[in-house]
Amino acid sequence: MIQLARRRWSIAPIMAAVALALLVALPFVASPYLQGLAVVALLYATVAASWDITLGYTGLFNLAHIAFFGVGAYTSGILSVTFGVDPWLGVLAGAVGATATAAIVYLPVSRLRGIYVALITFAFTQLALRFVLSARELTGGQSGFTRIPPLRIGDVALVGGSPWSIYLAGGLLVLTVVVLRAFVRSDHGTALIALRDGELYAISRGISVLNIRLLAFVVSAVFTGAAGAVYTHYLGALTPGVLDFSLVTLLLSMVLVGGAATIYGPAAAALVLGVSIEWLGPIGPLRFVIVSLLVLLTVILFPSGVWGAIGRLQGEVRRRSRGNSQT
Amino acid sequence: MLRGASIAVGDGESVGLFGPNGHGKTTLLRSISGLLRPWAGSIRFQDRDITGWSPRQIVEAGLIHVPQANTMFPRMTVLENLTLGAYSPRARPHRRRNLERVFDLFPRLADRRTQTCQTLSGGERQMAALGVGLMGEPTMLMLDEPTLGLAPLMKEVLARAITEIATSGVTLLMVDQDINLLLEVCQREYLLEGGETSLELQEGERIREEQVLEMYFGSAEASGGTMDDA
Amino acid sequence: MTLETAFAILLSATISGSLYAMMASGLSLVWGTLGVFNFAHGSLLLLAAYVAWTVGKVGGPAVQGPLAIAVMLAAMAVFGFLLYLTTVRPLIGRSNAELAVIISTISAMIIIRNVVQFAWGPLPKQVPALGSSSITVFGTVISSHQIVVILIGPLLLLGIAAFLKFARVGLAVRSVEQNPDAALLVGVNPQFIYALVFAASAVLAAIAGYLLAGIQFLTPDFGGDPLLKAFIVIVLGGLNSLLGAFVAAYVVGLIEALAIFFLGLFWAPVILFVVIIVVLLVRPQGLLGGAR
Repeated sequence: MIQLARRRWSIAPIMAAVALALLVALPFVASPYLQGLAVVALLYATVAASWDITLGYTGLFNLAHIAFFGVGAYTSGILSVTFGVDPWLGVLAGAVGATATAAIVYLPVSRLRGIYVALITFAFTQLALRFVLSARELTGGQSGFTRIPPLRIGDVALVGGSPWSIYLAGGLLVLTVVVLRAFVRSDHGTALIALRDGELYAISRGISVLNIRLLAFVVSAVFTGAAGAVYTHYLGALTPGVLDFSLVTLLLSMVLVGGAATIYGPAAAALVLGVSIEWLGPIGPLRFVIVSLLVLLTVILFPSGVWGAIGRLQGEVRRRSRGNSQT
Repeated sequence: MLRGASIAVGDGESVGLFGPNGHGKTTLLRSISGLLRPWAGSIRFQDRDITGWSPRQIVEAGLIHVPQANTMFPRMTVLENLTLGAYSPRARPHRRRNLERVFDLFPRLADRRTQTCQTLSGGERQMAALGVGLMGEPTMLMLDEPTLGLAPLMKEVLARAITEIATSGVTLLMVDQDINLLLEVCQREYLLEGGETSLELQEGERIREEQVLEMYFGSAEASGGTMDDA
Repeated sequence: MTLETAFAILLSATISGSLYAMMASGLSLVWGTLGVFNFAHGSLLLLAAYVAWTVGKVGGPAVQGPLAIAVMLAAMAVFGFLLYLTTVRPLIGRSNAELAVIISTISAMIIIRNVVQFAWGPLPKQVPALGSSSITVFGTVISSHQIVVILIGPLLLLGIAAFLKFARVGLAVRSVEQNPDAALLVGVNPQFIYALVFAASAVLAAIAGYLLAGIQFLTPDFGGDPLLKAFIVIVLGGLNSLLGAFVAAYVVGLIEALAIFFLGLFWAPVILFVVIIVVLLVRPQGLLGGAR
């Protein structure tokens, strides 16, 4: 057992180092088109990693997570276009806005359980969408805004084609993963997991349900909102579509790794999927149909996700080999 | 976990099944009625192999299982519960007749027919459960602890009703902790222990309480109470 | 507020309430019997409206009205069954069935929406309303179509309640809901009940969809709004009783009508959400206090 643990521990830093190296090298080896895919995929990964907090660690099916992304995008977009705020401050504001939204969403969620959480968060996202569509003066309605100023480092604009866009998106992902992993390993994270796995027991040990879950919601929203803001400055455009930010792609990443509660799992899956799906872009809405079909098939065929299925297989192999030596 | 359990019940017989808790009595009944699938072995009913049949098919064949404690539809009335007992195509034509029989057997149920089952007393609920089983027009009835938790007076009422049912020709397989009740009602008894059947008591054999206590607890002094408390 | 405006608001509330009640009841039935929630319910609404439109177009004026409705209902019952087969049945019995079905039906929702858009195009279509007469009460004009909507919701729900209470299969449905094991032991076939309930909820959604199509323009986004309101109704009224869903539906309809009147279409969604938050903070068991 100890041997196993040590081995598992050493893989992650190696993989992380490899990933980082790839990230740094990417702008020099990949075409601008591929770079563009990478940026979006990296943002997907940030959102998916954050979603693991409420989905995997809190055990709440928070369908408002996509709305956090959208709120981040709209906050930053509106501030920079209508009020001339510097985009970098806009990203910060996006994170703050998303966080505030998470707190608001948590109000009804705190009183609900199970399916009702899914319903109310879904309702929230839809309501947010309707609000955006009708508040035309503020949000640009259906067509949104198109002259969103890009983020700048010195003279360089972080738009498609600039390698700094990848570094920014990648940096955001790295920051997200590091912070979220730290959160999960902290006392708060442990309390959260305890609450998820055995609510009554956890409460009897003094864990405050309200505070811990609120914290989880807020933490999951911070980087999601920032990602939304970065996304809109990168594209230079803001449309209501951000409130619907490829829900299926994120769902597929979650479903593939079986909602692993690892942060890494969903992030990696979203990264790979993000590139593949954006690459399918030209087909248009058909790609959403394909991805949705994939989600459906995965849920039916792989109850614990593809990785879960592989994990179980590994467990089987391990158990059998151990069994042989233990007789 | 059942392992190597084997019983046989003859047509019109009343057979009892007893043994320590957790050793598989309920599992055996649930396997027979189709709620559980056996990994190995076979179940035969009226010269047909019913292993792997769905519960619905088994009910239609006339083999009715009245499970432990939780048989009822709590928010439905006694009458609705009994009506549901006659749900299968086999039982439906006889619904009215069987309803009268059940109310004859258990007059208290007739009085309470519009009450919901969750408002009934323990004894009344057991009566209703038995009634629901009867509504299914059974050739064979399997009862799982029909007198569990009842006061002695109630037990008597139910025991008499069960005997009457058995006398009317219904084959009976009955599980109960109360050995004396089993002895009163049944002609043969099996002991189910450690997932295996053993010790078959024939008609006429009688078993003394101390012997049973010895079987269960290793010695007659170990428990300190009577069988009814066990 | 004048009598006329009060009446107009009440009217709007009863029209919406009836539609929301129809949708919420279908969801509640499926939840009670199967223990799962169908996120693609709105898609059933959508599809029903488009099918009705197509039947009307293909058959010409002679096929309008009752025949179109009958064909549409039959088609939707079948489609509801197919949806059940693909997204629900494979997942029933799993420990995470609830979550799995949420995911599978969300996927189905997206697939259906995109297929509808692809097959029928994004341009708005119109399904004719029922009848063309109208009456005027307290200064408000009520069309025959609207009268049908107002009456059908309560009638349908009454019919369902009666069916559950008195019909043999209705008892069977309740039995599966209250004690699945015992239901098996009286010979109920749970697969049949599941399929029946799901198909019935599809038919309810179809009726709501058809009626709504006579009021609103038909686009691929159709039904998203009523679905949303149905969700809110369910959060308020709980999934456990038809009565709770029924009452909550009209309450939501009324709040919505009032919000639109006083604050405009713009603020109505916000008001609804605020109301939910307040209700849940003050009375966590929802409106009727059904056990959750």
